[in-house]
Amino acid sequence: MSEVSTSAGYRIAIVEDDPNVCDHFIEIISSAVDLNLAGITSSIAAARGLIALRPDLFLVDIGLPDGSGLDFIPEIRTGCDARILVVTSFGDRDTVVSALTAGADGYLLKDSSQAVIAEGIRVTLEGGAPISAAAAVYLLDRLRTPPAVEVVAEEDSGLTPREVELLELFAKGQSYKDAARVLGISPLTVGNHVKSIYRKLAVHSRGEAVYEAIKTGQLNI
Amino acid sequence: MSASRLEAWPGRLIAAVIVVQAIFWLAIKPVLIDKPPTDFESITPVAISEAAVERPDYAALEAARFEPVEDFGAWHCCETGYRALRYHIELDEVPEQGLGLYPNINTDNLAIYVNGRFVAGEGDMTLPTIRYGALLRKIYHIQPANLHAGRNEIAFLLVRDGVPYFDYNRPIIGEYGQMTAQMRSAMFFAGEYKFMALAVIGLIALFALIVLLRSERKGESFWFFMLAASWTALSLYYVWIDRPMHGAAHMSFYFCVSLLLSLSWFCWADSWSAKPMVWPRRVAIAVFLMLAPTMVASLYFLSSGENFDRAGEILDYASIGFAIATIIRIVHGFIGSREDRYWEAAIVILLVTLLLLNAVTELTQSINMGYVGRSQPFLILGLAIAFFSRNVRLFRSQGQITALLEAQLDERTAELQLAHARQRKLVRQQAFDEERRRIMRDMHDGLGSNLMSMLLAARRGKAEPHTVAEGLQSVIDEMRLLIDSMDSVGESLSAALATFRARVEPRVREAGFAFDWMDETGGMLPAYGPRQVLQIFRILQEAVINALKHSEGSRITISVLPAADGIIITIADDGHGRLPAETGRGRGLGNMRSRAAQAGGTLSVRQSDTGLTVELALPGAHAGDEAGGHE
Repeated sequence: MSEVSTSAGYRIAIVEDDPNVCDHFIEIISSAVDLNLAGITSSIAAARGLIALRPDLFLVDIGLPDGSGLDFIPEIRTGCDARILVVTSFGDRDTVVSALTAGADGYLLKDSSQAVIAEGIRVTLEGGAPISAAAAVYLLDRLRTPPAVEVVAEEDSGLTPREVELLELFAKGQSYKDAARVLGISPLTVGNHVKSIYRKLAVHSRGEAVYEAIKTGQLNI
Repeated sequence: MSASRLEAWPGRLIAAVIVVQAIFWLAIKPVLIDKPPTDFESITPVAISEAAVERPDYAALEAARFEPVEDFGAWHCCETGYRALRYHIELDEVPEQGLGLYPNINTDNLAIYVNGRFVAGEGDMTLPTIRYGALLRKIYHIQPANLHAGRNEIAFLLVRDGVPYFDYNRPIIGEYGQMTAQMRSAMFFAGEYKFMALAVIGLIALFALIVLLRSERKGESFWFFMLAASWTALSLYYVWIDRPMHGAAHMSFYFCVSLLLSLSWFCWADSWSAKPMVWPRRVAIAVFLMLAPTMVASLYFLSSGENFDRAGEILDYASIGFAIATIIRIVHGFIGSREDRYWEAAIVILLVTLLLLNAVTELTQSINMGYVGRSQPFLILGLAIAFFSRNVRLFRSQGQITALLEAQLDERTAELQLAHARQRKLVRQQAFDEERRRIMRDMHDGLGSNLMSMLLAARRGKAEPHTVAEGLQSVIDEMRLLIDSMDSVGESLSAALATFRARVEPRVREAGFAFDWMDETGGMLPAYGPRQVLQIFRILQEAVINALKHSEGSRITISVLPAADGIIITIADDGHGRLPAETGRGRGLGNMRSRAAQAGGTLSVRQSDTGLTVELALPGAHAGDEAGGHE
C-alpha cells in the first residue's frame, strides 16, 4: 500500500480533460472528509507527474487529448500502488471489458451522484470494486453463460451461487454495506466477490470472442 | 463408423468366416476335392512286385530281381535312381477301345510297358538330366493291340532324382471309354485345371506386378504379387517337364517356394490390414531367411531320405506357424480398427485354415489331401478381385472416368461454395461489427463527452444558456454526422463535399463570417471508401467549427485542389492564427490528426498573424482506400 496517514485521508489523483467533469469530481472529493485531492491533470503527459506523488487512487478518463486513458493504466501500475478507476460516459460492455482487461480495478459513470461516486471510490480503496445496479443486472444476464461458451473458456467463467446472490442484491439497488449486511459478510468479502465477478466478465468476453471466432470459422479447434 | 458398428466386428467377422467356411466345405469341397464315386469297376491288379533297376530300359527291368509287394499303399525309401513296378491283370476280353490306366505312382518320370511292349512314357529317363513327366497325373491309354484276353503284364520303369520316396498307390484301370467318361472331372482337375489355374494366377501375378509399379500401397501390392507369383511357381513345379534343376536343386526349389508362399500369406495379411505394423513382416522375413538355407542345407548334405524328411518337417512346422500367425494377424487387424473387409478376411482365414490342415496332415499322415492345391487358386482369385477393384483405376472406361471427375468436381464446387458463403458471412459480420464499433466510438467521443459535460455543468448551476445552446448545437452536429455515416453521404467524396458546403455555409454566414469555396478539381475526385469520406467530413467540420469559435476572424476560405497524387483540402481563416486550446471539448488538433491518418492522409497547420490554415492532404484512391476504419 502507498504511504498514507489515516488521519489525512486517502489521496486521489484525477486525469480528465473536460472542465465540467473535473469540477464535478473536485466537488465530490472536497466534500468527503476522508478523501483528498492529490492532483489533477488533463493529459497523459501531465499525468505522468502524478504517479510520482504516489496517490492512493487514480480516476482516469478514457478519451484524453493525447491518447487513451486505458493505455496509461499499465504505467500507473508499474509506477505506483494506486488503485485505478476508469471514468466513462457510457457503461457499455466494450468499455467495461476493455477497462478491466487494461488492468483497472473498476469503472465509474461520470454522471453518477456524489454518494455513488464517493462510495465507489471508498469501496475500491478498501480492495473491492464499484458496481452499479444497472451493471449488476447486466452481469447477471451476461454471465449466466450458455453451455457453448462454457466449453470454449479455459477458465471457469460461470458465477458461483454466492456471486449470483450478491448480484441480485446489487441489481435491486443495494449498496455495498447493505448487501454485506444482508448476506452477513463483511464489505471486504463483498469487494473480493465483485472483483472475481469482473474477472469472470473479462474471461467470459474473451471466451465469447473465441467462440464467435470459431463459429465464423476463423479459428479451428 | 459408429461405436456400435465398431463393437459389432467380432460378430460380423465370425459370421463372415462361418459363411465362407460353410460354402467351402459344403459346396466347393465336394465338387473340387472329393473324388466322385466311380461307377465302373476298376480292375484289380495281382502279383504286385517291385525292384531296383540298373538302367532305364526293359532289358534291365527283365533282369531285375523283383520283391513282392503285399498291397498298394506301399512305398520305397530311401534312394533315388531307377526302380520298377510290375503287376498282372486278368482280362476276360479285350475292350474295343482298350484300357485306361491311371498309375497313381509318385515318381519323377515313368515309362509303361504292357506285355513287354512300350506303351506310354514321357521321354528321357536317363539320370541325371531326366524329364519330370510324371509329376502331373493323367490317364494313359493302352491300345487294344497291346492287350490280349487272359493275363496281361503291366510294368513301370520309374526314376526319381531328388525326392527319395517312390509311392505305389492303388491304380485305376478300366475300360478306356468308360473310364475317361467317369473320371472326366477327376482328370480335369488333375490335368487341364492345373494349367488353367497356373495361367490365371500367373496373369494375376503379372497384373499385380503392374499395379505394384503404379500403386501407392506398395506393401500390399508387393506381397500380393509375391503371393500370386509363388503360387504360380509352385504350380509350375508340377507341370514343368523340362526343368533345368535336378536332384537337390529341384527339391530346394519346391521347399523354398512353398515356404515363400506361406511367408507371403502372412506378410500380405499384415500389409493388407488397415494399420500395417511392418515389424511382423520383418520378423517373418528373418525367419524365412533362416529356415530356407537350413532346408536347402539339409537337402544337400543329409543322406537320401533323411534330407527330404528333415526339410519336410521344417517346411510343415514353419507353414503351420505362418498359418497361425496369419490368422492372428488378420483377426488382430479387426480389433479397434475401422476394418470392414469381413469377406476378404474370411476368405483368407479359410485359405489359411486349409494351409494349416495341409501342413498338419503332411506331418501326421504323410498324405497330401489336395485341399490347398485345388482351392488355393479360387481363393487367390477372390482376393485378386477384391485387390484389383480397390487398386486399379486403369481400366475404367472413358465414361466412367469422366463421371468420376465430374463427381469430384461437384464435390469441390460444393465445398468451395460453402467456404465462400462462410467467408461472405464472416466479412459481412466483420463489416457489421466494425460499423457498430465505429458508431459506439463516435458516440463516446462526441455525443457522450458533450452531453456529459453539459449535464454536469447544468447540475452545478454553471450552465449559461448560450453555452448550453452551443453545447446542444455541437451535439446535434455530432448526431448529424452519425446519421450521415449511416446515410448516403459516405457514398462519394463529391456528395460529402456538397453536403458539407450546404451545411456549413449558412452557419458561417450566420456567425458573421464571409465564406469562400474553391473547388479546382473539376469533379475529378479520388474514389474513397465510405469510412474515409466520413473521416474527411469530420475533419472539415471540426476545422470550420474551430475557426468559427476561436479564430476571431471574419472570413473562412475552403479550397479543394488537385495535387500530384490525390487532393488537398484547406480551411483557412483570417483570425489571430493561434491554435485552439487543447483542453475543452473536441480535443482539437490531435483528434483531427489521428482522423487524417486513419483516412490515409496527413494534416498540417500553418499559423501566422494573418490567420490559421488547416491543410488536409489526401492520397489517390487506391493508396488510401482501406486505410480508414481501423479501430
